[in-house]
Amino acid sequence: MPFKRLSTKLAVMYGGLFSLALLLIACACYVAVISYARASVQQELQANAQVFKRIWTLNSESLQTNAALLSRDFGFRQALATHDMATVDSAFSNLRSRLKAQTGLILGADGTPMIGDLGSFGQAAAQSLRGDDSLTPLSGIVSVDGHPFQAVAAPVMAPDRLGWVVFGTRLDAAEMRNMQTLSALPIQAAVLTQTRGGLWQGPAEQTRDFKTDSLSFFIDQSLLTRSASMVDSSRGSLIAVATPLPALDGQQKSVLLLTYPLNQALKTYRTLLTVLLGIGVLGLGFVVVASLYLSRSLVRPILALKDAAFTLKEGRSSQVEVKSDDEMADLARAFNAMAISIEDRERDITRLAKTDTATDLPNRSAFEDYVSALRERAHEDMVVIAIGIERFAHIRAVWGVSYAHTLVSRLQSVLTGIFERAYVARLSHDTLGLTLNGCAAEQALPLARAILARLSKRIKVTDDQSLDVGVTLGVYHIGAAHPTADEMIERALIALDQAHAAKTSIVVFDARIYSELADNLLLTDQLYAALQQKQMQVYYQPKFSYREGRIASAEALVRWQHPERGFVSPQRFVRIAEETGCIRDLTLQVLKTCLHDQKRLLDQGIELDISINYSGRLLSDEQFNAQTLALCDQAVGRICLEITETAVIEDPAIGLAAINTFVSHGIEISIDDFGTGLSSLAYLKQIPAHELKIDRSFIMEIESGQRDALLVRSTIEMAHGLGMKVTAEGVETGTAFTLLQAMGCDIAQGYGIARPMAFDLLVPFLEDFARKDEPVAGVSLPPKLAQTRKAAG
Amino acid sequence: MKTVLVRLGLVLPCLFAGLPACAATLDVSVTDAAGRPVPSAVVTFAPVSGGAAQGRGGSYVMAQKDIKFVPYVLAVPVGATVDFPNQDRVNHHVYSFSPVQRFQFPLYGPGKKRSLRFDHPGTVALACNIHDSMSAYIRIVDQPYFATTDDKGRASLDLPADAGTLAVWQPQLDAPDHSVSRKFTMSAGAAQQTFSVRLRAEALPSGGAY
Repeated sequence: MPFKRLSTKLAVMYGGLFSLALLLIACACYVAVISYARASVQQELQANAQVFKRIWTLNSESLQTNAALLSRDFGFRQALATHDMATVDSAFSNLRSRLKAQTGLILGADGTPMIGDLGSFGQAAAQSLRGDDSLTPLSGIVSVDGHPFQAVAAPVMAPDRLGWVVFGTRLDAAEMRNMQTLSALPIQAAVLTQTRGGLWQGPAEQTRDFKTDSLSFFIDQSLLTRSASMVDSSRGSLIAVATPLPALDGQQKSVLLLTYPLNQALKTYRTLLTVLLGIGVLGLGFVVVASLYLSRSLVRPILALKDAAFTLKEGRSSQVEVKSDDEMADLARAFNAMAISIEDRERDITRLAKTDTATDLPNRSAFEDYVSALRERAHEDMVVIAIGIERFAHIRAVWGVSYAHTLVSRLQSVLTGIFERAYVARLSHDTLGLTLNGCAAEQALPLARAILARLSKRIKVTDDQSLDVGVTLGVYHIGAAHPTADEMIERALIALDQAHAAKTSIVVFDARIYSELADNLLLTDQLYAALQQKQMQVYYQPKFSYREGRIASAEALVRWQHPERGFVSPQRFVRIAEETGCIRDLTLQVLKTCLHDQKRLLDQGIELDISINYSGRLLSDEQFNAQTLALCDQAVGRICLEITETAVIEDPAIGLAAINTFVSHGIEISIDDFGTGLSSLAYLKQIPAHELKIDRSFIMEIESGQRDALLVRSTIEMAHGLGMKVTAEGVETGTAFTLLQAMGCDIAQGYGIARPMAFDLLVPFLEDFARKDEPVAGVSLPPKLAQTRKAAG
Repeated sequence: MKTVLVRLGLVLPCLFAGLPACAATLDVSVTDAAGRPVPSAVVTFAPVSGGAAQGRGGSYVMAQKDIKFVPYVLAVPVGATVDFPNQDRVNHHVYSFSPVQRFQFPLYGPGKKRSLRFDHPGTVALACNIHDSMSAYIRIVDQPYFATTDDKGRASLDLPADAGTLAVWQPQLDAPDHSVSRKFTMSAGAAQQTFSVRLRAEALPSGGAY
């Protein structure tokens, strides 16, 4: 049976069990009492039967004695012998009235009724005594038409038998009642005689309650067993016993049947049963109450443990009160110990999970919790600042790991020293996180500056060592928005990354840029699709050769006009292409297009060198290099690969070998964006480049900055010294064009010459340019330049 | 059914020289069904030739002794006188309601004697009015030959060689008039007769049934 509650289960089981036991005991008591009652009534009845029999015998003997008295009276005998019937009759009547005998008669020597009751009793008695040789008085039952009589017969001897003196008493209801009064019990008596068929019959008023068959069967049984037993009657069950009675003729069987209603027999025990029942009910009540109390008291500590366990499960501390000294108490104590150790362990785990073990500072997880809690607590403006420690790897390498950790700890204490309310955690090995609430949007930047100012000072790391530390800050201010703690920290970190990328000290998170970053994923997918669908277009930006005075070459630039986005910045998608590996497909597509276009130009009689941007990353890919080489070998004109430096050449050995191979196949190599990025003199030394392209940032400033001009000039001279021609990028003004020419620059490229254009526009442009501006040696300025500038504006 | 064997033993020579014919002694034995001897049985023989009972000359005595009649059965010929001497220490009141001869001797004391002559054959049942346990029978016979069985159930008769009826009477004998009889011819070879008789339930008197 499924129980929801243990106490109910216990109560039901205990109560049920005890009740069952009680019930069984009650049943046993009932059965015992009833059977005892029956047994005792049976015994009583048997005893009564003996008494009755004895009384019967006494009665008989008394009658016999009287009858014998008469039979021996000399005068009576003389009268009978001399047939003096008048005397006999009077003597007989005298005795009969004295004995109060109901009926009686005198039988003659031949056994015929002579005096007295000559009716049916007399006939029956004469019949009974016929042929009887007895010389002694007889007694017994005589059945007259089914009605039993108690009869005595005394022979009249003188000394031969002259006849019989017979007296009889009808055993009717009144007589039976007389007998019944002799017993203390309300016993009913009846005398039955057996018929020839074997059935037992008695006066109707004494036997009407019984079924003849069952009564006869019972009497036969009772005579056999000689004990009282049960018999059914219309008055209900009776306890009865049958005692054989003598018959006057010694043949007719008669019994004295004593009955006693079972109900009445049990009446005296009913009180006892009622008392027992009362005790049983009281006991049952007590058992139920006790079971409830027992189960409650048993279950109470279990419930307490259960509650405590649930509390513990919910992560709250939980202890159980120990009240007793039993197993439950042991369990409770064990639970308490367990709860404490769980709490301890949880604290340890939490501490480990929330702590940077090296510095004991809170870690990112703890920082998240704090930020989250802070945001929950007060919905006011707050700021999260990610502080990146510059050159941390370097510091660690130089000063050792523990020193580096100590530095982080010091920075933390410095920060908390400045801002008491600030919470500082270590977000990663070289990044600290700081959060402060109640900081308005316009205060965020000053706050960051203050941090920067303080941390940029010399930091005392150990007692005898101090260090100049550079930090970069990513600031995220939270106003009305509801980002999660994780997002807040991530945004501060993004801002930090942006600051790194921008090489500035502080960047405040810009949601717009952030969304652009988020857009990169989508853009990556679209880029793949675009490459598949060949959506990329190649534009050509003409390059003006000072020496030849004409457009001798052009740089192929990839353009992407997305159907939905519109124009996508090459800077952006090329970077994505490089990061995702799409750069291979992109470069190949551009290369193939260029080769195709170059051929078309040649078909029109135009010779044009084409420069193609080639990522430094690709140089490490031998397979791709081979592919490039195979394509370039088919070129109808000169192909120049501009090695961009957006990424480091991963494997310089392979890269340089590739470059050498390219060169040996007549492919020109150009160093792009020189002056920025990772270019170095060693780079220049190693790469057998034909061309050096000075970055536009230098060219733009050439007019105003003396230093830039000097740098450009020196670079041009150095390049020439190394046997390279020089291309200036970003030539936009006539002044710059002229200056560069003066400096000995070989080629100019930029809006001042021409914007990048589609192939369809390139041919007209080239023809136009050639027609109007015949290449003139020593021309200081192409007259076209002003025109193109106007067009560009 | 009880049978009595009566064995008749023929004893020679005749005991009584006065008898006209040559006489011999017949032993009669009376037993009950179980073979027990039946005492106090009166055996009579009535020859075809007739002849009255003859008194033996001596007196017949029915004494009262120790609250008993002695003997229990007394056979006497018709016309015999029987003495009833009181040899007891108490009084007796002897009576009989038998139709053969009704009489009573009101109480008479020890040492006293009454006498009565019985003139008709039959049975007279004797009793004492004050002692119910006392009973006795006087069998008055008109046959010439009679004897009473002793405790061994034997009786001896000196009979002439003649045909006749041999009868046995006993108070408890279960037969009409308590008597059985058979035709019998006395001869030299028939020395013994046996009667096997049936007795009534109350059996043999042993000091009186009443």
